[in-house]
Amino acid sequence: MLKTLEKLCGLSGVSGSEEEVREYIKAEALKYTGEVSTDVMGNLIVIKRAADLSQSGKKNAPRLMLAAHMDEVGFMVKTITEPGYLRFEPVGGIDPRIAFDRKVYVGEKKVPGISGLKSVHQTPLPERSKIPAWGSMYIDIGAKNKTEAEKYVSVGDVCVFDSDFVRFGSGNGFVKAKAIDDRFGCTVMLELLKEELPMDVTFVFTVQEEVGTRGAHAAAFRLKPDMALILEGTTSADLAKVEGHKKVTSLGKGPVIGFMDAGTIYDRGLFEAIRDLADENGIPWQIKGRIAGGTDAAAVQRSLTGVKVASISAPVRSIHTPNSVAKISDMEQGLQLARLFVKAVAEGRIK
Amino acid sequence: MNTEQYLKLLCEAKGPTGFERPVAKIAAEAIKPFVDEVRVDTLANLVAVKRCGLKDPKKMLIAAHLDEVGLVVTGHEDGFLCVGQIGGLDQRVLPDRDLCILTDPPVFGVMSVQPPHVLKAEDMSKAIPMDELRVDIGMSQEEAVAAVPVGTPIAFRTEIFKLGETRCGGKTLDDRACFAALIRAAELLKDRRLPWDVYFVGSTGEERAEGGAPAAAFETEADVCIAIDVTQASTPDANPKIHLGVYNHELGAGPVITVGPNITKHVGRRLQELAKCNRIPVQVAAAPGRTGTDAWNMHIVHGGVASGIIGLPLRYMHSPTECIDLGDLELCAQLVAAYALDPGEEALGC
Repeated sequence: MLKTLEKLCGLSGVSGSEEEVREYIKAEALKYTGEVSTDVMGNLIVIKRAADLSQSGKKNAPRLMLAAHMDEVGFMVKTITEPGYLRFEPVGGIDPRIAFDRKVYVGEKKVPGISGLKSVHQTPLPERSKIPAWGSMYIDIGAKNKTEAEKYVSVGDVCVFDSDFVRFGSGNGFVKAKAIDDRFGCTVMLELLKEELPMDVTFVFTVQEEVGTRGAHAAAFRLKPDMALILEGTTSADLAKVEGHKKVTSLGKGPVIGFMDAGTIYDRGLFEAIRDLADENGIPWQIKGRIAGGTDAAAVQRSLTGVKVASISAPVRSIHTPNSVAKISDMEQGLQLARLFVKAVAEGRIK
Repeated sequence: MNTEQYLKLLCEAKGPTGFERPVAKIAAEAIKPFVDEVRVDTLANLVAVKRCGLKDPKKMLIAAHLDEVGLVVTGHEDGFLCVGQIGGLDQRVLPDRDLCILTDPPVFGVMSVQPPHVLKAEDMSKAIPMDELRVDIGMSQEEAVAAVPVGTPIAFRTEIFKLGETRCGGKTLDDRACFAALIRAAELLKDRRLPWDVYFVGSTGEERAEGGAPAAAFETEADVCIAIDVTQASTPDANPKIHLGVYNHELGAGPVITVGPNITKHVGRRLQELAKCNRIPVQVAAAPGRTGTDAWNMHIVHGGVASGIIGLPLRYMHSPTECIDLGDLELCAQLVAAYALDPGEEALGC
């Protein structure tokens, strides 16, 4: 699982430019099924049939969709200035406090750049407690002027953070990488694709979640699922001196089962069923201590005549930053719980 | 090795002020092929000597500092590390920074940051004060206390990378890029006859009151001491050119020669003459007082030492992503070599 996660986190896929991630997942998925397609939006739709062919295409079986988003947050070049700097804005929700003095790669050619901030010596003391506004920040690609910059980059190019994949912490049980949200979900789906499944499952690797769950919206209309499980990375604020529910979720306390967030009130029956599955199988689980954030579930739930939705997430510290942190045990248990969910649906225990 | 390879070797090594010895060793190995002697002194200054072979020779010392800004562990809280700063850091560059905690073997950490989902909108326009920052090392309180003692230094871990056609980004280009220039200068001087002994010094303690270089100046009894250090370059947010009394130079426009009370007139003048003769474009910095370089303390060692400063323009100083122009670095090396070969009569005391 970790190898897949490391590979996926290293790929570039800022919302609207998910090609690199999609091509990799497509090639992997084709090893396990022939039913792989890309829709107009760019969602990758992978259908894997039940291992027992008598279970495939069953008349009364629910159409089950699993979804995880391929896209990640990043920047977009808005203008190129005369001295050759790039003015940019965020794609998706980025905390401006983590935006500068970062190495980024600009555009398809992956031109290295620095999101600059004048030096501490050049900054008067009161200014050092203020964060520059979006639009006043800039990326330096080492160009001497606009003409030179335009040889390498264009307005509209997206920028992805540079970040390596590191295992660290107690028992080497933690990982740090960019885009764990939501290459974790993509990893779970790729792992399930490798396995023999008890029923037909449609896996949707969605696009543009970070700019408003747009890929999932279109995919749900096309696929008309009866039930959808969203696999996500979710906010954790379990930092030093943070008390109780303000932690939102905690690393090491197991996967997060969605009951409600800012976008969705999840199907109560599914929530309870997944919770019970976890308990029956000795898998720790948690819920969010704050009604914050959202997932593709919001779009899927409200598609067509309505879809039953559930979510299983891995808690992630410093989400939407180049140095997100997750715990391996939470992610492994998330995969385990997703596998149990599919089995329970196939057996008719979850409806 | 070429300059970029030297930069990788030097800048990616970790040595915050007070913990420079491992870097001095790496620097010593790198410059060794081009000099006659290398040694590391009491304060971890690297001293590399190129002899002229003359009897009772005059001595020139040129120092680039090997230490870097960083953090130091001051305590533990819920398994996270509390930190203080080593050298001048902008607290705004720290949140969500990946860090190398210099235990043996090193421990990895990330400067934790509260997610925006749980903050008020106005919080995101305010910097997190240094004393509220905590490093996530993925440990419980007991594990953290055992694994990372108070007093452990912490360094950035950015790698050196090519930026555009002629530039380089990365950590600690301040001031190891200047040491790379000294290696290049030593290479240029390899088979040349010198009029005096030249001491290439990788100094220590610069980011904390320029502490190491004067000891090297004292010990070597150099006649002329030059500091080669980075200097502020302009950026879109650091304009106009004079800002807070800091003169912002241009990246790619050549070395910066400083003039002012910290610079002995004949040294500054000679550097400018040599730049002109050798068609090295230079920029001039006027420093009315303290220069914030090793030259400040070396100038008054013993009964006073002739001193000068050569500057390498650099953007985003003291951040994990500093930036220099490789052309500037090469020209700095050429200027150092030119001065070592022909410092003029006043320097040689004829």
